[in-house]
Amino acid sequence: MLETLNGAGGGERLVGGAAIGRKSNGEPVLLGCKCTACEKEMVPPVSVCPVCGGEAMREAVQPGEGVLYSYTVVHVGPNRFRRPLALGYIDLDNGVRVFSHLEGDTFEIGERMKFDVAVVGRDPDETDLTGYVFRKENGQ
Amino acid sequence: MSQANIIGVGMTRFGKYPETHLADIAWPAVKSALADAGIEPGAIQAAYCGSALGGMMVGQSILARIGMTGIPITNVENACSSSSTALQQAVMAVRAGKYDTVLVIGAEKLTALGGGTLPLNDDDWEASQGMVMPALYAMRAMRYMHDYGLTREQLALVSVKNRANGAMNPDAQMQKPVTVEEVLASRPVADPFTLLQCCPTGDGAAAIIVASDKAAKKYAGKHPIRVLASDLTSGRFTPGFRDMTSPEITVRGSAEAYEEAGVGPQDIDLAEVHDAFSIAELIYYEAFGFCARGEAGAFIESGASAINGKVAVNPSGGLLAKGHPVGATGAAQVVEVVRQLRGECGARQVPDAKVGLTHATGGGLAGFDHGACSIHILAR
Repeated sequence: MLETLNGAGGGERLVGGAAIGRKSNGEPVLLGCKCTACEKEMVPPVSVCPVCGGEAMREAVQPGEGVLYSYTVVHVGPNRFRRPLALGYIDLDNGVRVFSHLEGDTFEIGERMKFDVAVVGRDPDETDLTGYVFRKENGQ
Repeated sequence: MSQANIIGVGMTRFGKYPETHLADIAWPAVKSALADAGIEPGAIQAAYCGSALGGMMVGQSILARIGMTGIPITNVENACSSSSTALQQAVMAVRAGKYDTVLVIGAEKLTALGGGTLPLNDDDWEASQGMVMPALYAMRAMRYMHDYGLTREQLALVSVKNRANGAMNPDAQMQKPVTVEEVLASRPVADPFTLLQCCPTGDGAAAIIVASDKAAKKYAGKHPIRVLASDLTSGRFTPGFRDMTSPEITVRGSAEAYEEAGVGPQDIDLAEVHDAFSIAELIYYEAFGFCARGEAGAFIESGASAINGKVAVNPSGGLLAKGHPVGATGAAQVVEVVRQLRGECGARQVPDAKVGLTHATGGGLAGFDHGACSIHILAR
């Protein structure tokens, strides 16, 4: 069982923390789950399978890479996040679709993206928000 | 089994009524529908009231204003499909023979929420990370443009057409026509959408009187409108790939509704569809079979969805111009189709309208196209 940042109590204020884990070397990983009955995988980890209703779910580290299915740059919405805010869906290499904040200046549908953890916003009390993001594979 | 008929409709013009109680926005629509049907309030046997964000017992609070309490009142919440779901419940009750005369209400006061985008459930996985409805639809638009070469100008045509239609509808919130240039120059909301490609926020109400064949003969002052299909479905959750250019919930719902009605897309003279954002109307042309996949841009450009076109889509102005007080929308779509089928729409009248459909879908939930979808097919 990986330690999730959600329960780590490290003083970070998390967004989407249930899907962020850390390996023993500290490297962040995208956490999902797999239903042992229907074998569907999904992000984030949940205790009941939303596909078949099965309750035997096990943690499943997800591929950290995928392809950008679609995206938008949003100028409205919750002001705890930066504006404009880039949001998108990534189709991971195992077929799971993940909603994510995107890091970068420009994006292209179909381009490869990789998982990371970054500051994604700031609350009115000046506390930074940490969340998972996907950024271009070439590291821009 | 009796058929269900619509014998009266009424609505409160969509707009902003921040100083008016929701019940006071809605009761005039109820009285207007009763008068339209020529039925006295005491003859209504039950009421179904749709509201997404109006709080507890909206139906009771409205009917308490006008002395119509003591009957069974069912309040329905189903996001943007709230009052179309209320109608579906009323139609089922009439068809089952439980009631002969049922009132359906849709009522919403979004100005009570302080403006901005529609509030989604805070505990939703995507909403908690900043997802808002414009962003969800914008991602559909981006993918559609990528897959089918839809242009920003074609996208803007939806707003241009619906604003022009709304300008001829006294019940529409937005009554000023706009040009493609004005649409594209309005402020950015979620790429590729500018403000004029997003439905306005507002308040309003609509009411419908549903009657059995027996009651329709007794009360209808005007020609009763037959309910050919009354469909309700929910979205299917998927954790993986979902084609965002084809709304699975509406594709299934339209097939169910056509089958129930015994008609096909070629029979539809007008359609009030859920154009919450510009792209939505285009993908619904395809979901309802008005044109083939990928051809929606060319379809609107050709004028095929204009009032005098092959199928008049959103002659009322749609959500983009008539407005979208969430829970009231489905019932208001029915008001428009009934008036069109009766030939009462003046400058925006669809010529020789015989069959029309309404389509209200919505509910932002992670892993779904939409949460709810209700479709009705009506005929004169």
